[in-house]
Amino acid sequence: MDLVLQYIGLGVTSVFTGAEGGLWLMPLAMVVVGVLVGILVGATPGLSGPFAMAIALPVLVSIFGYSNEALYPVLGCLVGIMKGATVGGAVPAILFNTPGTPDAFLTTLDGNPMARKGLGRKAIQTAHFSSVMGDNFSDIVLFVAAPIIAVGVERVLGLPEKSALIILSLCFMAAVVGGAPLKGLIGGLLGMFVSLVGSTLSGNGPRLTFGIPELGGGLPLTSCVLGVLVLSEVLISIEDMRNERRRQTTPPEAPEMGPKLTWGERGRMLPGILRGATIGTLIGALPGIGTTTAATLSYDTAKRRSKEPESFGQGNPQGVVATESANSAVSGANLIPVMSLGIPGNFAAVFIILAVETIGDFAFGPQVFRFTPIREIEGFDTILNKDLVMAFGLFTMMVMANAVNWTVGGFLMGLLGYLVRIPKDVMLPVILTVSLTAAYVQDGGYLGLLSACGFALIGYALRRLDISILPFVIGFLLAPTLEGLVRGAYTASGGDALFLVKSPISLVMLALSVFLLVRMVRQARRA
Amino acid sequence: MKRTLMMTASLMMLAAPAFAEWNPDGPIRLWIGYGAGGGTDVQGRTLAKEIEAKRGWQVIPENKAGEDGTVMSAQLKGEEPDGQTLGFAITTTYDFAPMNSDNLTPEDFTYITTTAGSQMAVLARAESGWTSIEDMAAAAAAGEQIVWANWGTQVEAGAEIVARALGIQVNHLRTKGGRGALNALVSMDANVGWGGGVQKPLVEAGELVILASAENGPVALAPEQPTLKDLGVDLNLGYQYIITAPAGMPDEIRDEIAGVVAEILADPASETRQFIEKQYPPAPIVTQGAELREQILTTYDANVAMMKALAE
Amino acid sequence: MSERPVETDAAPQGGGRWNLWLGLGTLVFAAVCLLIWFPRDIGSGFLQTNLTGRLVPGDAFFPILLVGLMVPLALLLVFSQLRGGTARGGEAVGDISGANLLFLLRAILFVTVSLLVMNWTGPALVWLTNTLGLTEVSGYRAVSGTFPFRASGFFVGGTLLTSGFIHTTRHELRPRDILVAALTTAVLILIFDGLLDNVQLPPNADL
Repeated sequence: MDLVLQYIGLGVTSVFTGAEGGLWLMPLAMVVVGVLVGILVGATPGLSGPFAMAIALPVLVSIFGYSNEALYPVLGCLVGIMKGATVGGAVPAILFNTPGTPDAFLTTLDGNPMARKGLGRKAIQTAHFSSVMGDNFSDIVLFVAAPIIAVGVERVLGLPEKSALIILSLCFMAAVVGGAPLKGLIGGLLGMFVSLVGSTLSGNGPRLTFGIPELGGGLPLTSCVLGVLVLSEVLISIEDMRNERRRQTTPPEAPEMGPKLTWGERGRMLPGILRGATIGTLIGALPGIGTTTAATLSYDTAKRRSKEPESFGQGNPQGVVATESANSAVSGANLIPVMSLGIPGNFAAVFIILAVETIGDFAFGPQVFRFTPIREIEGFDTILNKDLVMAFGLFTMMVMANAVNWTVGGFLMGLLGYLVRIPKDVMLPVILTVSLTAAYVQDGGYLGLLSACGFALIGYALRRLDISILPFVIGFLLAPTLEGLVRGAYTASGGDALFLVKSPISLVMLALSVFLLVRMVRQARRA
Repeated sequence: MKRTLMMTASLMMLAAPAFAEWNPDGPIRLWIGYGAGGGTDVQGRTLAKEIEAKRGWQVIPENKAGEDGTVMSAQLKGEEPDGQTLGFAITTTYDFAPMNSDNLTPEDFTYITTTAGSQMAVLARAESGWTSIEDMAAAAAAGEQIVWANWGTQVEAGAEIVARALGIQVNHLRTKGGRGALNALVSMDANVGWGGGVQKPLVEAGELVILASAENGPVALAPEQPTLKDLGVDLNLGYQYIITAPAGMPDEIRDEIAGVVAEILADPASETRQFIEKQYPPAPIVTQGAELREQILTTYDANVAMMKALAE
Repeated sequence: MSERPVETDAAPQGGGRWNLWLGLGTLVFAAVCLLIWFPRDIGSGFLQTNLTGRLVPGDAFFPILLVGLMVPLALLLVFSQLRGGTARGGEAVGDISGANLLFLLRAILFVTVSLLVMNWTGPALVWLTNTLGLTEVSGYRAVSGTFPFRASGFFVGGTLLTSGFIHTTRHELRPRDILVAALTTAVLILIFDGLLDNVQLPPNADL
């Protein structure tokens, strides 16, 4: 226990210590910037947290570089955006009945009626309070669960089991995402396939490059994800706006704000918040199930448990509490599989992983949480697990982001109603240029830029055909790891063709994957 | 393999003219064959900065990562040999990798200078209790499964040569780069592995031990450990960091660039030199021009022979 | 952006046919991969013999496995569609119309033109200053590290790209839209070229 406390202490101080040992406030500053950007982005309909993270990552890497030192400021900013966006989405949902982020859709159901009744301030403060509480709750679960799961996993899983685990999570993701599991699965396979372009482990020269030497190093990750996620969405929005014949929209008037939320009311929300946050945390810890599902489930539960279910949808604060606490709780819990297994479950987690893989020599996975005894050797150096210090540093920044959300966030949310709207028809083209520039600058020149464009077309097709993009992206990210693991497990076993089914644990995981596949196929045939 | 240490460097410095015989027409692009943030990248960028300061040439580093520098080299091959596009990789890229490539040969490049050398060693986890190659061989003979982490064909061949010399069975695990080999060791997916230099912090922390050196002499971190050659295995897997250009570059350009690098690496106050002393101890290794070309071509032939012998 | 509420019902009319096209397209893709692409573009086979004489997975192992897995899924997609008839049955699916494709084509053309302008502005500027006698340089490459030449292509091309898409969304281009486009491009130049010295703006990393 002493050792754990020592590591936590080192983690906390490492965030504030620069390379030369002096006080360093850059990570803190970037957390604040991130949260502010996140809240603004969340409050802008059509933009969301992952969207901003996708553009911010290459820009941040250009600014801070690739050294270990760059990790804290970059991660701090990304974590801030992630957390800020979950809070900001509620404001336009409540005041103008337009959700700022997709998961705030259910907030409109009760939040907007409250605002129309002249209780706008109360609704916003309710959303803020339950959102931040939910977020904090899931972070605490993360801090405790990630190390425990990681230590367990490290002890039990070898190469075959790790391979089976990735296969299982990919199948699970395809099964739960969207209404078209078959096509989702094909998309996932396609994503895995395109990531194999370029380098090989065998040393037999690059593969699948059409003879283009630039592709020998593989497709640039950040640019591809930027293209498939952000550019495709920008293209679709631009096209939709082009088709909507000039619709002159006057910014809607913000309704009367009304009285403040009292501490007594806050206290009475706590049971609802706890329920919502628990649902959000459980859902968030599973890969692929997103904030919307968590919010829906929580809202339905609250409605069913309520003594007056008919008041839901008429401006019942408990409805806002249920959705906001649940969808915010997802964001922390999402990092549980990321930090303990290295498997991302949603888009926000994808960017945290991308940042960590791009910068420095830190990597997520079970090895992070090895509690190496700290020994100091006279005149030499201190021996410790630097990855673990980094992990606690990341946790520290999450706590800092929560603190900013509590204080500045609440203040800013009150003001958002008065902010002039950014005209989307100018903003989206600007985002397009910024994204393409970021891809060029940070990811290998025209190779990065053109990959982003190519993946934008893939993303466009997937979106237009209502096929979920998540399996594609996660498959794209995990396939190289999976290939390495499978090859490694095979050769390390001495060429045993049945290596995957020799261990009971991997056998169980593979059986589960097969079960999920069969279920998906059944579902598709029944439809 | 000949290694001419600082002596050459100081000689070059005396021979270097007071002012440049050749100046580039515009910026020089230095293509680093590895990803941003790694040791090679840092070395390349520091060097670029110091060349700028020394000569006033503008040197722009660009990362072109992939397959140990071969992806960069495949692009470099087609550039103008005018001294304004240079490559930075390791000697293995040119004296081994072309063997498995349809579009690269050692003749495709001009070899300008080496800068530093590897610290190639056989590694094991400290908790294995092994302190020498013999301990490992004994464990293998006693029935323990040996999994050897390799990052490329050459080092895998090397591992196989060691295994055959010791008369033991080894399963080879292919990893992504030198760091991948270390991760495999630490996470117990392998129990022996190669390390080219990145192992330094883990060895210093006492997590890993060096069983033997795969260089011509002992490695700096474990000067008391024997080399593989001492143990009767005729194998040298050491490599050097190298600056190259497309084939056909005029000698005066090659020598001018080589001269600047030698000058920088000979200066004890140079940042690049200090980085090399710390990361690739003990000192820079500077082999240049015709001698370097000779080294690459002979090593290539030796490597081809080695792989042929293995396949039989 | 990530998780939109799932629309379970009401695939658009004719959308169902997309299941068929997607299934067949996947099958064609798999056939092209397995028969034409992979044999020519992957160095080692499905299995290869390693140094120790053991059979290990080759570089084609994983690609073939992935593409192979697509085949039964695509067949299922096609069959569930055919069995249910085109009216209902099969998975929910969206639609890509001719108008969508036309829009994409326009967007691609426009991005291409902007990138070409990005590439050509620098050389054109060098030619101009050389002709006017202001400079005496051998070409753009020689000044690709010098301001303002190194940023000229990006400034013109970037401004063109932004204002072009503003025109698409607004159906008109006001002077202040061009100003916004030029300003944001200038800010990007300030950040990437002015404040940071280890990155290069387009097209300077590809000369």
